[in-house]
Amino acid sequence: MNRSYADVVVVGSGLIGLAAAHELLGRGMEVAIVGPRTGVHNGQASRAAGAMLTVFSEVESVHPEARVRLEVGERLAARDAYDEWLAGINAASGQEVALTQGVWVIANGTGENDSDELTAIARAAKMHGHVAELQPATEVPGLAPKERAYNALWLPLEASVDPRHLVDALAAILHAHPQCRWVDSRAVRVREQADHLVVDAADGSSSLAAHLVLAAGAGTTADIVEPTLAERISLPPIVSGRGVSLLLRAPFALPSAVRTPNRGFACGSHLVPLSDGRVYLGATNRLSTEPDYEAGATLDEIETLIHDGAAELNSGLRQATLLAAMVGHRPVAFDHLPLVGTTQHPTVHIASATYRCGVLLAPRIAKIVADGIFGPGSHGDHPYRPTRTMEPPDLKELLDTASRGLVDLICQPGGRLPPGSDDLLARLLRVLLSEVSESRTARAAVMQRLWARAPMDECIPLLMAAVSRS
Amino acid sequence: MSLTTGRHGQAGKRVLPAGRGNVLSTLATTPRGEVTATFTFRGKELSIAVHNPDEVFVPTDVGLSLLAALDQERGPDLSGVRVLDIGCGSGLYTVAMLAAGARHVTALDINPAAVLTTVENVVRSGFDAGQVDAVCGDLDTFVVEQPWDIVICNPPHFPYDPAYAGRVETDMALIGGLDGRRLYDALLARIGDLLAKDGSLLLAHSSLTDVPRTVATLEAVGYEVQMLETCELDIPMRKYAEHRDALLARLYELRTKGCAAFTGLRFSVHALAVTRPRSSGQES
Repeated sequence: MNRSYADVVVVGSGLIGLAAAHELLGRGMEVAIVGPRTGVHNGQASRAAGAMLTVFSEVESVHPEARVRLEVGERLAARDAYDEWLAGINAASGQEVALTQGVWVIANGTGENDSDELTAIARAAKMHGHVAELQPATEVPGLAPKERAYNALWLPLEASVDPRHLVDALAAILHAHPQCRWVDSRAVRVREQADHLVVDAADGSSSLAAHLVLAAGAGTTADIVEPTLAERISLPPIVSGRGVSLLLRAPFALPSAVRTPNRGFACGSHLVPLSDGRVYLGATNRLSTEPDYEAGATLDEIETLIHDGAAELNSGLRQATLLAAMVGHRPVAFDHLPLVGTTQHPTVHIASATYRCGVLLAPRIAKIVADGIFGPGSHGDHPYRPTRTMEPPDLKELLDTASRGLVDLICQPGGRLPPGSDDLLARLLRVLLSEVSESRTARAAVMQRLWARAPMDECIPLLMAAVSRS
Repeated sequence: MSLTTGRHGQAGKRVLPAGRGNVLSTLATTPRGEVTATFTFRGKELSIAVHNPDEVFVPTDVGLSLLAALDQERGPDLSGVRVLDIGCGSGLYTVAMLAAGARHVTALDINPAAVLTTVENVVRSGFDAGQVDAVCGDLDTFVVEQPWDIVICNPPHFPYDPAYAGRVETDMALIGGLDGRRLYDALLARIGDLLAKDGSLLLAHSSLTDVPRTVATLEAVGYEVQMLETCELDIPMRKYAEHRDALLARLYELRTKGCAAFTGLRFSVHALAVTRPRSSGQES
């Protein structure tokens, strides 16, 4: 039997898992990683990410102040550590993974009220002592949309990076590290053997360790943990926000990333500069409780991206050449906060559910996980702790506010209803969906079951689709 | 299994499987809760019984690994020797030494229940209770009348942490102060008094408690240390499994300082035989 011992076994070989392994190795641990090292990595969030370091630009006007302070505080801590972390990775790997400084957030008429969003983002930046410069949209290089933007916010603290280059550099370090054993194979089972935690891989190997770090992203870990262990770990569910993005060779210059604010259930459109005249165009966001990692991008998803990108960011995109279409499954918990730290089981730790901020949070998360292993309880009241209670939102209340977003979704890409009709449709959707959810029909049962599996904003479009199909 | 060829020469290595306790003995539990551990030592089948396993430890693979290293006539000659069994526990070493031909054993333990259990097992194994002096006390204050030919010990080895250490007797058997070395250091401080001129110290030395430091300390005052065998096995979390995160955190601190050797939940027990060199004319 092919068996090895390590201090910590990490399940998952995306950016978060690799960052955690790297941090632990730096503290003298023997680390085993179980997850693909070679191969195409279909569906992996890390390699499909836009990878903007969005300290402030993920803030939405509907977020209460407490939530903004919490999330921005953590993202700022991550940003503060980022340059040094990246320099260490470059030094150890001999690579030059670079940050491109700054992110532009633009406001146009597509969103319900982009002005409010920019105001909220600017307030978050200033609240934490950082610059947010309001500029005319004409000042944004690379911005030439069909639909004119009326304002732009420049965030110099934010940045963007090529996540594929970053992951490759980290992978090179770990692959060569004498205290790292990387099992280049999918984890198929996680169990206990006396006090050891054991990860069995598809290649027949077993890795035994004192500690386990689950960093395998959306929906992939739940099925492989042996039931009694899973019950002890008591992990909150993680679902997937499936994102499609495009790698392009653009006919225009793009010195810094340009993005819209978050829009409803989606994360808006964004263009991110890469090396050699390439750009990244992202991204769709569709919730899935059972992500299919092998399902490629559909034309519908690609069409939405192209339409929104050309309409809101740069109409020159229609002349861009397609290099690749990518799919990534963003792991997300019901309350949208990451799951980081020690679970109910004292030697099982989670590092996941980073949703849209994984690339930014990676060094911070790695530190929290390692701190929790070397000093148990050290992050015992951290807002990302997996043992926190989550209050599910009230479905009816959510339907009240979500209906306008549903109309936008129905009218995608880019279509609009005549004035008055969109309000009518929104009210109608709200009434109908609320009535169905409270009735005792088969449709109601379908709705309630789906809601139970993903009680969050992003489930609303799925509920609408499910009800219409029943 | 090859014999040792020198001080730190090619000592044999024994590897116990992961995830299974009590490999080196066969355990049986009676309906009344008495546990017996049966094993073979130097051709004899021996059995140790503990009727109160919450108060006195049933023999463990850690303790038994020293006997395994001494099996097949390895280590010093045991016929007719006088033995000091420090931390006698259930009487494992006391009984084994008598079975191997020892003349007399002084069995010392801080836990009065252990002292009683040791005598019970001596009698149960068919030996004369007169061959044993069972003493309840601490090594630091223990009075030596005549140094012994054999001093044998399996000291506690876990570092102290309030998360898991109470004042229970079995804690005393497992925890050795802040760095785990309390009894090791106490033993080293008194070895000159305890060991007769041509005597041997037989030590089950945990890799969690800085084997190199013990070896260096002994060699610095002229002792010869022979590594009979190393046994690789699981760290026996036992009742500390609930607080294994705290125990491991303490061990990581020690390991960072170079004072503990282990990987994951695997560590080693080094069976050491310590003597004064025969050629030396040094005073004991």
